[in-house]
Amino acid sequence: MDVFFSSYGFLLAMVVQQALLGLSVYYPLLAGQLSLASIGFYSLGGYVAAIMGTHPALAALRESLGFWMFPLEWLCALVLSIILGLAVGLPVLRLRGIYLALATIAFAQVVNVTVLNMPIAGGAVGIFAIPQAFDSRLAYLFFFGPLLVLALAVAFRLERIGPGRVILSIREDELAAAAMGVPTTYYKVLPFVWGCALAGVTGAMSAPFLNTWNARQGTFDASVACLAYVLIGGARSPWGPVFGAALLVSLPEVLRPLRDSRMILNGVVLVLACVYLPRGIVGAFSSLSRRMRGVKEAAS
Amino acid sequence: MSAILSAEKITRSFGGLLALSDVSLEVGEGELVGLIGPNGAGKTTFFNVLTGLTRPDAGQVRLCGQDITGLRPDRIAALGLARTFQNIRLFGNMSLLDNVLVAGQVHARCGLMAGLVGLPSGRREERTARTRAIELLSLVGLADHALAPAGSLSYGDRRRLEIARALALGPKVLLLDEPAAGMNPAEKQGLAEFILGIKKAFGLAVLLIEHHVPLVMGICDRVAVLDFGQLLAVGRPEDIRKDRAVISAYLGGTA
Ligand SMILES: Nc1ncnc2c1ncn2[C@@H]1O[C@H](COP(=O)(O)OP(=O)(O)OP(=O)(O)O)[C@@H](O)[C@H]1O
Ligand SMILES: [Mg+2]
Repeated sequence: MDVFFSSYGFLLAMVVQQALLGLSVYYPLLAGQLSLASIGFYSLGGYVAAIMGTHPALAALRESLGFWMFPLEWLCALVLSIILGLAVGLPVLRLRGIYLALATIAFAQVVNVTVLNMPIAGGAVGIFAIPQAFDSRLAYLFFFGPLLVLALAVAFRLERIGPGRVILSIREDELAAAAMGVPTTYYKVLPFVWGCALAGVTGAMSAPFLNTWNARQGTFDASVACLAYVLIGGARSPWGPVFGAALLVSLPEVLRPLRDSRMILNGVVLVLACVYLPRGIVGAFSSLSRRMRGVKEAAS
Repeated sequence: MSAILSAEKITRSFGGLLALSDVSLEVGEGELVGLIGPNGAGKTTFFNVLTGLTRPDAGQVRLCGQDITGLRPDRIAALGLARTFQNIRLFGNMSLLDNVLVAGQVHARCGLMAGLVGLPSGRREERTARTRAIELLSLVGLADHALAPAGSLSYGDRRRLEIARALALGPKVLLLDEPAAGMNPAEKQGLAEFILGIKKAFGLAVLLIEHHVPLVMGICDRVAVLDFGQLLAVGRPEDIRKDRAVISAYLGGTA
C-alpha cells in the first residue's frame, strides 16, 4: 500500500486537480457557453500563490500567519478571478454565439504574455522553491479534495433548483429562454465566473503542490486538455469531467510500460472515445443503465 | 375600452424589405384579437417587435400604459407579455415540468444561495412552483407526462406545452403564433374552445395569429388584417368579411 501511494499519490492528487479544471469548463457549458479561459485563471491563481509564498516583502506576514497563509492565497486568487472573470465575461456574454470561446483564448494568451514580462512573476524562469504545505504529494488531497466535493455538490444541487434549470434553458434555446423571462446575460455570466473562480483557486492550491510555477502552466495545449476532460467524460453530468480527467491523466502513466507505443495507444483510445461515445463516458454509461432498467421493467 | 397592449406606428424593414409599415393596433383588457394575413405579411415580425426580440425602426409599444419599446425580452416577459412560437421553441432535452418551471422562475423571490444551501424558504418556494406547474400541465392535459423530455412529445402536444409554459409567466397578454398549425379540424375546434377557456380563467387578453379564417372569425372579438407589412383593416369579424380591400387582398372572394 505504501508503495502504491508513494508512486501513485502524485497521480491521484493530479487527477483531482485536473478534474477541478474540467469542472471549471463544465460550468459555463451548462449555459451552452464554451470557455477556454480556465487555464488562464489557473495560471493567474498559481502566480498569486507563488508570489505570496515567496516574495521577501511578505516574509513577516507568512511568519505570523503560518499555515493560514495558504487560505489567504486562495482568497486573493478567488477575488482576482472573480473581478477578471466579470471583466472578460460581461462584455462578450451580452452577445449570442461563440464570442466567449474567442475572447477566452485571447485572455489566456494575454495572461501568458503579461506574466512573461512582469519581473515579479520571474519572467521565463518563473518562480521556484515555493514553500510546501505538506510533506507528501498525496496529502494535497486535503486541498483539492474538499474543493472538488464543493464543486460537485454545487453542480448536482443546480440540477434541482430554479436557477439551475434557468441556466440549462439557455443551452437549450437562448432566444426562447429570454422570451420566457430569463435574464440570459446574468445567467450566462454566473456559471462562467464560478468556473473562473474554481480555476483560480485550483491554481493557487497547485503552486505549492507543483513547487515551481511558470508560463508553461498556461499554454494553449493545457486549455485544450481541460476541454478534452469534459468532451471525453461527458458534458451532461458533473461526473463527466471527473472521469475524463481520471482517464486522460492516468492513461499515459498506466501505459508507461509500453514505452514508445504508449502515445499511439493513448491517441487511439481518445479517437475511439470521441467516435463511439459522443456524449462522453458518463453519458454512455447512463444511457446503458437506462436501457438495462427498461429491459428489466419490460420483463417484469 | 382601455387598451392593455398598444402598438403605435410600428415600422420595421429587413434590408430593402418593408416587413412592417406604420402598423398600429390595440388590444383591450380581456379581448381576443385575431391577426390574419398571407404568408410573409409580417405577422410574426409584429410579435417579435412586441416581445422585444426585434427592434422596431420606428414606433412605440405600450403595455398597461408603460412604454416597453426597446426593453430586453426578459423584462417584457416579466412585465406580463407572453408568447408562443410559430416554429415551436421548447427546451427539448428538459422535462415538461422543467419547461414550465423555467418560465415560472420570474416569480421566484428566493436567491441562488437560498436554493444552493437548501434553506426552508427556498424549498417552500420550489414546492409551490412545482404545484403550480403541474396545475398548468393538467390544464393542457399533459400532467401524466410531466417528467418526459419535451422533445419526445407529438407535434400537437408540443404546441399545448408551449401554451402552458407561456401561462407560467402569469401574463396579462398572451400572443399565440399559429397555435393550430398542423392540427386537424377537430383538434382546431378543441383548441379554439381551449383558448376561450384560458382567456376567461386567467383574465387574459389574447392576440392570435391564425391562417384558418373560419376559426379566427368564429372566436375573435376583433380581427386585424396584415398584407405586405400594411394594416389593411381592423374591426369586428362581420365587418372584416365585408371589407373590399381585405376580400381582394386575402380572402380571395371566398367570403
Ligand atoms: N430576421 C429577418 N431577416 C430578414 N428578413 C426577415 C426576417 N424576419 C422576417 N423577414 C421577412 O419579413 C417578411 C415578414 O415575415 P414574417 O415572418 O413576419 O411573416 P408572417 O406573416 O409571419 O408569415 P407566415 O404566415 O409565413 O408565418 C418576410 O418576407 C420575411 O422573409
Ligand atoms: Mg409567421
